[in-house]
Amino acid sequence: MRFDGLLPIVPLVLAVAAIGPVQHWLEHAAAPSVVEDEALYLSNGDAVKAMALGYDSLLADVYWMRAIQYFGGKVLSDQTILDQQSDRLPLLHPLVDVATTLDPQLIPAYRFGSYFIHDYGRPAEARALLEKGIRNNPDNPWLYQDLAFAEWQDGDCAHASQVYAAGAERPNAPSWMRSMSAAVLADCGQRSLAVQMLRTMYESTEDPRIRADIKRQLDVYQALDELDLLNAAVAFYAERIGPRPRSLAQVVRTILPRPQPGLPNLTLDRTGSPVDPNGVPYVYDADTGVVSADPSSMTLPRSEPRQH
Amino acid sequence: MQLLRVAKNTFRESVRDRVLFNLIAFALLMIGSSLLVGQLAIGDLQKVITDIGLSAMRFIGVLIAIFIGIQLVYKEIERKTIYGLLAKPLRRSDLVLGKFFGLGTTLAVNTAVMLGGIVLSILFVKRGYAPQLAAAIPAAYLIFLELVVTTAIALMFSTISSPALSALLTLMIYVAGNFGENLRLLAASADSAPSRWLLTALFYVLPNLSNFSAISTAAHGTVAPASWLLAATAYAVVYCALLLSIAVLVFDRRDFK
Repeated sequence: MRFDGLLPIVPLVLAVAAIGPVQHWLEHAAAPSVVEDEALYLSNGDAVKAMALGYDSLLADVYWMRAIQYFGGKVLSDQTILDQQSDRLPLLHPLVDVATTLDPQLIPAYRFGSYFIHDYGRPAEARALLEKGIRNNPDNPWLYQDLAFAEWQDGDCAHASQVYAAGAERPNAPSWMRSMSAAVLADCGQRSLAVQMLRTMYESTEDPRIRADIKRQLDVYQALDELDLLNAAVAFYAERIGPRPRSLAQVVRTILPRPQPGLPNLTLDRTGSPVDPNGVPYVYDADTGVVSADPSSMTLPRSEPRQH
Repeated sequence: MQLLRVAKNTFRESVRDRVLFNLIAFALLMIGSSLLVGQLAIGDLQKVITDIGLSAMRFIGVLIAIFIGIQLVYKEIERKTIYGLLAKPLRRSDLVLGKFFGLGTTLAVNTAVMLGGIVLSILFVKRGYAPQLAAAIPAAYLIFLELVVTTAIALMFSTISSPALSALLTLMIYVAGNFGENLRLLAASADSAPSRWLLTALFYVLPNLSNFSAISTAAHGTVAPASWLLAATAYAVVYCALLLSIAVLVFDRRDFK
């Protein structure tokens, strides 16, 4: 075998072997990026559509995926973003707006875009997005459902009821939509109604990420119900049985030994202490007699989403 | 008969072209990658696959139509094989039309191969029927019509000028052709009569390529109606006839001495 023929293989093997270590070195040597790209260079959907050269639908997908990545990137870089009250995702609405201008039938963008835009700081833009979706897809009942939910969350029960009623008129509208129209007016501000609405939204999507977020909200409502029960039980214990209880396990053993009809079913750990939907024990302050959720497990709203 | 022979040879020549295979492989790779890209989206995965697949089909098809289209006649002139061809009992019009139909056949085969890739991708994801499967077929046909019109533009320019200039001019017409609807809107909102007249004239003179745009419709699983397909076919036939007539007229009068 000629040595000359093998010669080019040596640098090839060396180069292949070196790629990994060099990349690793580079990752550690490079300064961490501190500048976050918060600019959206083309934010006018009509302008982007005009320049799309017929690739509107593909560009709509690109903008929609960019919106999902923007949202996911924000959540990954700042876990507390979900619990902050201020406007935390300023580019989310423009991204989704461009995506839906490029493809007016992009239903997931209207539905899930508005859901997150509303949840993370811009309710008016979320409603505007859903209204745009209804204008472009007047026969889609789920857009009415989502708009009604957004209106209801913002406290406009009368309008939410009207939107439900309009949605119920659409072909293929689920039968419960008409009854929701009445329920929204009758039970305006009730936590149980929020749970019911969230469950319908949970059932209407198959996307695991959306389901996970709705499940998170349902867990919060469950925790709120359980906290109400536990705080009432502690107060009852202190008033009727004796001094404040030393632990929640003691309260549960004494007052709530078994599930009561109409009351939330508490989940207990091995010690008999009640735990939240994430399996973390509730925090009990024996000095004040207040039961709360462990902040490391979940953050509860400072006040109910809407009380009217 | 001579026309068919030229068409057959052009098809063979195109199929032997390595660039063509590279482009098709790239398109199929793009279609395959849509399976991965689609995972990033929320909503229908088959919608993203259809979007990426048909867009890749259109994009690669346009590249083939332009860059092979401009070479069709020029190659014969550059290699001086045109003298041998014209010495035979072959009409110049047969040569131009044969080249056009040959590349058209190549584009039809490419489109069918890429459509197969899209169909397989959707079947792989859905493990069964999806509305996009039926909708992708007429959409691919409309893309094919658009490619045929683009080929006719490229061929016409290739009989008039050099390949570089032909490519540039074809690309310009292609871009302008995608602004067809905007031209009509501009004409409607123009203040002065001459600009309104000019914009309306441009709208009719330039090929309105948005007539063939059914990617979005197909991605949502809606099948393009037969009336659209018929009208688009008629439009493509009329426009190609116009462009090829110009190409034949120019080529007939061209002096190769």
